[in-house]
Amino acid sequence: MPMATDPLRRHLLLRTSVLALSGLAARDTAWAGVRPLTKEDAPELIANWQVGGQAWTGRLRAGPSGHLQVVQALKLPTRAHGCVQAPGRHEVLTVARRPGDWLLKWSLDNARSQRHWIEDDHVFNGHAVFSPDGRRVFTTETHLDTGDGVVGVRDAHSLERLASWSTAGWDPHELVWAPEGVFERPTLMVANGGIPYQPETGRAKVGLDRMAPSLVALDATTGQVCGQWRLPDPRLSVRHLAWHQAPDQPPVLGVALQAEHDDPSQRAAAPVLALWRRDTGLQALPAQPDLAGYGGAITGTDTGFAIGAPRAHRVARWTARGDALEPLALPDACPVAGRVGTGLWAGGRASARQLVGRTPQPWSIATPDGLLLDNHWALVTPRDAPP
Amino acid sequence: MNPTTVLRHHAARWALGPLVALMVAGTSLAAAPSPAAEAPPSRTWQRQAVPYYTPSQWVDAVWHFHQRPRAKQFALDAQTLAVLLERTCARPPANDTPAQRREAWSRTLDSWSALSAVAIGPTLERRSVRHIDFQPARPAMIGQVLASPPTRLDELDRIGAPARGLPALEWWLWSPDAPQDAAACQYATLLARQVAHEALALLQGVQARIPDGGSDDEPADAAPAFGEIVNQWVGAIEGLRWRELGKPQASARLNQPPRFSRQLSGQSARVWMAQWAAIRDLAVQTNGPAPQAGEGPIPLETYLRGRGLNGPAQALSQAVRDADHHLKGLSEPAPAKRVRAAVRSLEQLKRVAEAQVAPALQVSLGFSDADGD
Repeated sequence: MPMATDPLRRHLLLRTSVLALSGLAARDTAWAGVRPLTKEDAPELIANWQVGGQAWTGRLRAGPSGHLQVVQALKLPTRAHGCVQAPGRHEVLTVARRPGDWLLKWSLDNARSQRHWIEDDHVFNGHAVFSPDGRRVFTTETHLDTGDGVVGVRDAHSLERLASWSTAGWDPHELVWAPEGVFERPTLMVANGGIPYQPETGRAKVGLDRMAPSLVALDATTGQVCGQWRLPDPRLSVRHLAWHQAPDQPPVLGVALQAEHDDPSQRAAAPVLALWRRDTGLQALPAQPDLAGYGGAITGTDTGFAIGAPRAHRVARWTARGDALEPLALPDACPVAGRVGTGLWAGGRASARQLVGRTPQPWSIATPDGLLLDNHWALVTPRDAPP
Repeated sequence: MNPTTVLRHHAARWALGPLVALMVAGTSLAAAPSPAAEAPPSRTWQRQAVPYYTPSQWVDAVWHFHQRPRAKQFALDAQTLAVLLERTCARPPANDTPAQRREAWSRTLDSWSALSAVAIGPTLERRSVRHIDFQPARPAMIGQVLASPPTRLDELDRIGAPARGLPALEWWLWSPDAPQDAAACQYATLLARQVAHEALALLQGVQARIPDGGSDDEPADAAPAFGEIVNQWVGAIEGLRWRELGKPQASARLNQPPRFSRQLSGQSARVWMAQWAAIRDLAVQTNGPAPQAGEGPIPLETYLRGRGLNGPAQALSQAVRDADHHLKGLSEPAPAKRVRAAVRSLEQLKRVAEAQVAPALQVSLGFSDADGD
């Protein structure tokens, strides 16, 4: 089966390369040769990347020869940040990097895509999450007039705004759905990064002494705040979130941190992981390897958590209790994704690592020179696979 | 009255004396930044040695020769607009037309765009863009304000940004729906005064960053300011590429013209030219030999050549020349093909800035992969 499709994949790969490098790709998507995904396929990842300064979103496939190959690519007007698959559907939502002004919904089965522009007085902050039934999508945003953090509640089909909820903070970044049983009602966990920045002038951070990061729980039906937690050190920005779930254990939320201390040595030595539990609240891990104070992405794994630390060129790993495990060396490591069966996938500079059990397997990314993965990727859930 | 007299007169009235004194001191008020004419490349570096500049000398030159003339021009234009509106409201001429007021607003927009294109120092710290240039204006919110309009500057702080600043004035000056009664005129005057007040505060902030020349010592650490300016310069390229040109075109509805930022007044192209001139002037030497430190502007190209980094300097010069060619003469309404060409040339300039210029300068860009997000 894979052999039969190799020529097509090579064609897609070549086409991606040529279009990306020549800058002649169709203006929006126009990617006609998309290969539909079936549950027999090898693991695939949805990801965002750049080639020669041009931003793309699309799909990478783990081929039989140790290469991750681009099998679908959509040209983007500006860089993307997060990407998320709709539950039970072969549909992906890619979110513009902050301060962003677009969402792109696209199909894993064909060349269909739909772009949505945000209103003039809001910007997207890079992440979105679907409700478990796939009918709603929630986006982190900043209101430009007030600077307040906002969760945009949107219809998953039209992407139109249905409501706006305050995040009780500013600079909201990633948000995740809480597993059943953690709260009494459906709940969103939102990371208020708390960094004062000026979206109207780009990404400049001004007034870091006013930082106010927090983790907030919002009732996912009303937007009411049902809990808010802060770390003692306000220079640790709370940015990326992932759950670890294991049988007979309460879920643990891993929180990747971004240190913003003025002193470079303090910044470099800062923790990059905090854990949140319903009973103990939010706590930064006291002793961690030197990860240059920046966790760019986090995922739950079989054993606990993994964080991509691009400034330290490694993937750091912990148990769900917070005990450090052996890190993986990977240049420019950042995107991480994990699932039972396929293990941990971590992306770096023109290469990736798959960790199943204790042995990391190297993968090259068979793409044009200079492909730069952005912060996040996610494993594709094949059609008919259990959620 | 000449402009300086006008400023002094109204400064006294609005308690802006110290700021105006700052402004009229030193170099001529007419010291305007260069317009966005096509830039001929300077080749004097091939014949004359380019000095080696320290980072702090480059930062000082940015404030002294790039930002100060722009801040002065903005302060002058904003004050002129405020004075004109106040005079018109107090005593409307018999055959009044909006042409003079519109032109005063357009000049203010020009100089504001030139100053704020590369948003650094006080423009960032004061959040001036949000304060006086929040886009788009919301006519409904302005209408609510006009039901009970404020009369003092400090009362404007309670009013949302979409009902203030240059976009709100643009709506009042150009929209056929805008009321032209005395209350609206007084509110417009108050908005113009707020813009003028902000302009003077920005000028003061720029002046404060210019050393008095009494010390030859290299400051302890010029790296943060150096990094901020280079980062914001790259951000300015992206702002012009995407926010001003690319997004309006990409988001236009079928068979509808793009909604450029100053569509109502038809002044979008003036903004593009002013922003481009600011970006370009920070990047390349357009004429004459490279100055000694403290004697003239030091574009990035010159700074790089002074360190023997001719490869990135040449790439920068070429990319700027190409963008200059595509931006020159771009007008509104702009043919889609021409806008696309301008966007592509700015994309290329940004790539050169990110891939060659910033690494050569050892500046970590906030637009790069590992910048935190």
